[in-house]
Amino acid sequence: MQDDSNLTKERILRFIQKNPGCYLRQIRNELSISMGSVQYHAYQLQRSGKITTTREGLYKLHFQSGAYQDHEKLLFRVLNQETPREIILLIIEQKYPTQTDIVNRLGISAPSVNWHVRRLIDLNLIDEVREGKYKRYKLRDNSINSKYIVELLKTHHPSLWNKWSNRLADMFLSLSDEDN
Amino acid sequence: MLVFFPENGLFDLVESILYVVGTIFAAILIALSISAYRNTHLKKLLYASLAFLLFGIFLFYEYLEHSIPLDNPFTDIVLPSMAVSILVLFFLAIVNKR
Repeated sequence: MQDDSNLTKERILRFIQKNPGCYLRQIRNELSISMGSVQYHAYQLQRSGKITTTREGLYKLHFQSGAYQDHEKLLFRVLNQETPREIILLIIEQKYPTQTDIVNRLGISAPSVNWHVRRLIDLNLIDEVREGKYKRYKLRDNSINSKYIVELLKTHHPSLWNKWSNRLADMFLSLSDEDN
Repeated sequence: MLVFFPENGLFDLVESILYVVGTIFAAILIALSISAYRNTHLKKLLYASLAFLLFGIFLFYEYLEHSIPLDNPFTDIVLPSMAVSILVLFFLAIVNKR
């Protein structure tokens, strides 16, 4: 019985190590363990200092203790949100897209894109480069490299709830029609 | 008991169901807008969540009035005031910078 419990705990720890920033429901679904058991073991792992958690909206993201710096945790949080995630993907894909490129590709309003881009700049994840009358965007130098982000994108998917709440925010940003 | 099956038949029953469904949707929208606020810290989403909350209360009040006739002389003022407040809150959500 104790062995089973330790085995489950070990499986959960390994899953968190492989999938930094994962949340409880993700662990439950991937490992086919009951939610009660996942919650119990995650709590025990946190108490013993093997993992840490960060709250993101309704979700708690789980990380192996000491394995990630703050800016990496920030990146995991961003990748769990639909629009910032797509903007980062586009920047990786097109290298130096303009704001118009982002608007055309994402199909959301310019004020909304502008707001998300400002936020990513404030979070030190991307930089704005002026080129004539255009503003272009690139991943911040010395930040996390693009290959690493692509790897993370495989395991970090915004939940349906996160997608919806993000779209609600985009809707209100579009309605306000700001240019700054 | 709050769940009330009116005597006037199918139309009243459908009306009651629509009130309940509307209130549930309002609750989902409140939760979504709060979640969006926590992700973005946009003040306009607080106005939106307050508007959805008022809308939920508005529907619930209508439902109560429909089910248990309330002898409240203020009802004629309360409901339109709520409707106006909802519109004002949405307006604030739109015009507010953040």
